[in-house]
Order: sequence, then C-alpha cells, then structure tokens
Amino acid sequence: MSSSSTTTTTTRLLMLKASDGVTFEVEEAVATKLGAINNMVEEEGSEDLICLPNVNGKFLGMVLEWCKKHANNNTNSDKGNDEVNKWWDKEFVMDLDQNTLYHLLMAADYLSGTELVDLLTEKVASMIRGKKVEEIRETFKIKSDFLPGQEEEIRKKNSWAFE
Amino acid sequence: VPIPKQRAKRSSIAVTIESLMARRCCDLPEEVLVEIFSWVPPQSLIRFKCVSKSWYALINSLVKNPEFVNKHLRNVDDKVFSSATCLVFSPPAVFWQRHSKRGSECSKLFTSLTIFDGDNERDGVNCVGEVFDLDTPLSKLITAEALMSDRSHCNGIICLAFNRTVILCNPAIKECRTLPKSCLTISRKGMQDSSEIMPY
Repeated sequence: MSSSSTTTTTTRLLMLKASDGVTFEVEEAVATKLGAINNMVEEEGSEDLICLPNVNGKFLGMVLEWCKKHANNNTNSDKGNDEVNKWWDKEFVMDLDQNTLYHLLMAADYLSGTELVDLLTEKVASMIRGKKVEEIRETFKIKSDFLPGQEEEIRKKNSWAFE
Repeated sequence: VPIPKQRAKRSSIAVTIESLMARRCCDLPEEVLVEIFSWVPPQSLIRFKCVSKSWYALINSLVKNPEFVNKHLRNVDDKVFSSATCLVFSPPAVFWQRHSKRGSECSKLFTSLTIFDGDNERDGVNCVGEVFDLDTPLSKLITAEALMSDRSHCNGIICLAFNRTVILCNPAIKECRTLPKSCLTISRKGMQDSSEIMPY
C-alpha cells in the first residue's frame, strides 16, 4: 500500500483541523502515531485535510507535540533513545492538572494514540492508587448508588483491602 | 481498531471548570477506565469496588478476564513492584512452632521476602519481608504432608500440591482455590505460566 520508499525522503504533510478551527500542519509520520489518523491515511484517495470535530485545538496541539517527539526519537535508533523518551514522557505528564489530564486522555483515546493513552492512564493511576473510596468519588465526581448495607457488605468481604 | 465514538456536542455557554469537570468526569469511557485500572495495584483495585455499582461490576468482571489480568501483571509488576522478588516459604519447624504457640488453626502459611535494589538507599539493598496470613478453608487441610509438599509460584500465584490435591493461592487478593482432583500424577516440574487459563 505504502508508496513511499525508504530511500527517498518524500514527506507528506497533513492538515489537522480541531473542533475550534485551529489547524496544524504535521508530517504524516508524526500524525500516524495516532491510530485513528493512520486508518484515515491508509484509505485510498484520502485527503490531506483531516477534520477532528471532537478535539479542541489546545489538546490536539499537546497530543501532536507528544507524537512529534516520539516520531522523531524513533527514527534515529540509538540505544539511549528509550531513556530519552521516558524522561521526556515523565516531564510531559509531571505538572498536568486534573482538568488538562482528563481532556488530553479523552483526546488520546479518541485518536487511538495507544502509547499516549498508556502514559496518561498510568499517570491517573499514580494519582488514585492508595486513595480511600471517598477520595475516589470526589476525584471522579461519582455518587455512591449502593443500597443501604450493600457497601458495608462489600467492605466486610474484602476487609483486608481497607486496612 | 476501535472507531472513535461521536460525542454529543456540548454547548459553549460559559461554565466553570469545576462544573464542567463534574459533568464530564463521569463520562470516562469504560475502555479508558479499564486502562487506568490496569495500572492500579490489587489492594486499591479491590477497594475501589466500593465506589459505585458500575465500578463494582466492572472490577469484578476484570479480575476474571485473562486479557486484563495479563495487562495488569505487565503494568503493575513492571512499574510498582521490584524486579527481583523472591518468595521464601516458612520452614515447617517455624510453622509448627507458631501453630502450637497460638493454639489456633494454623494460618501462617508462608513468608514472602522481597529484595530489591533501592536507588535511594545508601546501602543499595532494601529488604521488605511480609508474612501472609491465609485465613481460608486451606488451614484445615494443612497437614505435615502439605508442608513437605511441592510448592511453587508463578505470577504471584502460589501452588501447593500434596496428596493429589492442588491448591492455588493468590496472596495479593487473599483468595485460595482448590483445584478439582486430577487423575494426573503431580510432577515436580513447577508451575507454568497459567495466567491464560487461571486469571487471579
């Protein structure tokens, strides 16, 4: 299917348009880090302009920043690269607030950026592990819908998990 | 390859971030929640069953799902736990001593000892010893034979075999299961990676 040979460096440029009209011009190799884009590009006669009505420009920009880093670092195959990527990923998620993290995760999931979803869900997990049930409800804005007594029963059955 | 779902368009009326979050965080699609759970240690995961009915149902189904279990083992083992974990079974002598002293049903089955290189530790070696109590029907089955029996472990599941009885224990979720009696002779080969057929 792919027509580009490895010897020539013809890079196709794609135009990604976010829900708020913001557009990004990115190399195909960068954008196809996202499964959803990759699928669209692989379709025969696909256009260079891709509209993404479910992603806001701010978060699309962040997703593409991640893609760019990982696409670039993957091309030169030296061994220290894995470490560089890990370090960069760590920095990338370090200071994300809950709201940004949520929207970024939704965008990554929508665009099928599997590796990015992994990175972000691991970050969320690091924020919730060890927390109390009440704190989890607070974080995810969930109201308990158990009938009276039901929750106590689950707690009793799994009492070791509440120590 | 999953096709991205179309979401209802939200109105662009100015809303505070808090109320936006309040509305949207409940919208976390199940597939994303599953991904998050795959990074959460067993104890927290079991505790989170109490969050809501849907979390309860989801977590209960996940711990029985081999695909999730494999992913969880990969994620949590790699990142949270150390790379070098060794398991030390209590020698029978220690076991019996404990048993007679307490005069109760024996429950101290084995001791787990974790040894890992601590980057932050000056000595470079950090030891964590943990004794698991297994309070299960197993304690009633335990005899001297069991203590001399074959014991092996794989992916955190401990296998005890004696008298043609095979018991699998998962100390992480404190559950034990006795396998149906098998007509096969138990060999001393140890335990194969059985996560495909025996999730948690």
